[in-house]
Amino acid sequence: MVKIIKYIGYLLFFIAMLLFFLPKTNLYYLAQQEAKKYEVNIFQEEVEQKAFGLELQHITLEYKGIESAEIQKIESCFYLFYNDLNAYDIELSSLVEGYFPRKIKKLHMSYSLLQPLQINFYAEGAFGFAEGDLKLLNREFYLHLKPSALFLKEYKNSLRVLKKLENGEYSYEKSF
Amino acid sequence: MKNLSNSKLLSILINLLFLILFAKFLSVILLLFLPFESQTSSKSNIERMSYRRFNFEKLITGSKISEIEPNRALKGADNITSMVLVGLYGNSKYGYAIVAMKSAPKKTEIISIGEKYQGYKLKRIALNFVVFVKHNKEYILRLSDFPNTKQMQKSVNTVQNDEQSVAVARSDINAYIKNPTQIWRDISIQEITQNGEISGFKVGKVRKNSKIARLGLQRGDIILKANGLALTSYNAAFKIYKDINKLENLSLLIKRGNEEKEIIYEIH
Repeated sequence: MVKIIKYIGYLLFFIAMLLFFLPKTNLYYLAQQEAKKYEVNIFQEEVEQKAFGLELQHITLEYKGIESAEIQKIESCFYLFYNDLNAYDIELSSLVEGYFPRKIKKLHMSYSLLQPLQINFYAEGAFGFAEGDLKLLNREFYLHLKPSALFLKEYKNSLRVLKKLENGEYSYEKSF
Repeated sequence: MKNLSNSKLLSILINLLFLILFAKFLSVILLLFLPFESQTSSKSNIERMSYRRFNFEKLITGSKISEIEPNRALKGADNITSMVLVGLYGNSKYGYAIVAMKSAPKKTEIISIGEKYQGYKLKRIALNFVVFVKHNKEYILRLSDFPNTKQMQKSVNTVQNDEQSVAVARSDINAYIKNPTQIWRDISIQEITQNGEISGFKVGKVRKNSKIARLGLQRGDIILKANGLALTSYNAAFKIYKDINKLENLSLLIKRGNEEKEIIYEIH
């Protein structure tokens, strides 16, 4: 029993060291290249490698060459069993101005080995508060939205594509 | 000392050190397969070309001709032989002339009425010449190789057959901006690619009696340029879309069948 615990301890230590030494900046560059194949460009002014994560500053996202969002800061942590990503102060392109409030204060995404086929997220901003998940196996996307007064007042057309719930909140489901 | 070297603690430390080295080794191996450089910004330097429409017809025909009083300047005026008049725009009260010295015809200068060039003050602009004044004497500088007005008019009319001018209410544009989903109800547009590159945007459908239908676009039209900017990317197209409420004029170069046609929108 002691031996098993010892080996598990060694394994955990090895994983921790592996994550520590992982060339996270270069993995990010690889992710940039892969995203580019899908016409998603990610540019940043600064990349800082942390012990178990990565921090990006002043990020610009482009889709099909269209500047889609500017993000002040992204922090990501890789613990293998639990990984998360936090994006702060997101400003969406003025192109979405007619559909959606542009400012998103925070977006949090997490992936845990306890739910290996699911990515969870929540976001808050001028639009209100939203949480949801992405089911990788079933290829389903679910969003639950608590719209802000601004969203309810100025973006009525956008709310039409969402399903209104009894409590005045909204949901959206899509398979892809 | 012997006890220390045999201690379990040392064994554990050696094992941990080995694991650290192994983890580092794997990371270095992995690093060899990863890119070393970040993607550099491709922020395109597509400059939005503002559209300026010059009414060349006014320049050479119509009411301006009657304002010119050609004979008045001709009487007693000398010709300037040391200069060339490359171009002109305006009328007797307002406008500018593009002039150069004969010795350096490529070194042109633009002078407006009232300004001096080589000691000559530009007094007036006529149909095919300008009038300078020096020491209270009038001098004439003529456009070289200026075709007669009838020929010019004919050429202008020919050009205008491929050109269509449409007045657009800014309120209509603002209505679409406020409700963008309406745009895609009224029109569908899809990119056209050639060798994997976008060469323009094709109009799929235009809803009858919609505001967009009044813009003169037809199903099958391929929009090639907007304000002189080739629409070879989504970015270029959306740049125009983003700035549409700031524009006063918009020109679209479209391909309809085998012909290219320019539609000019004047936004009021």
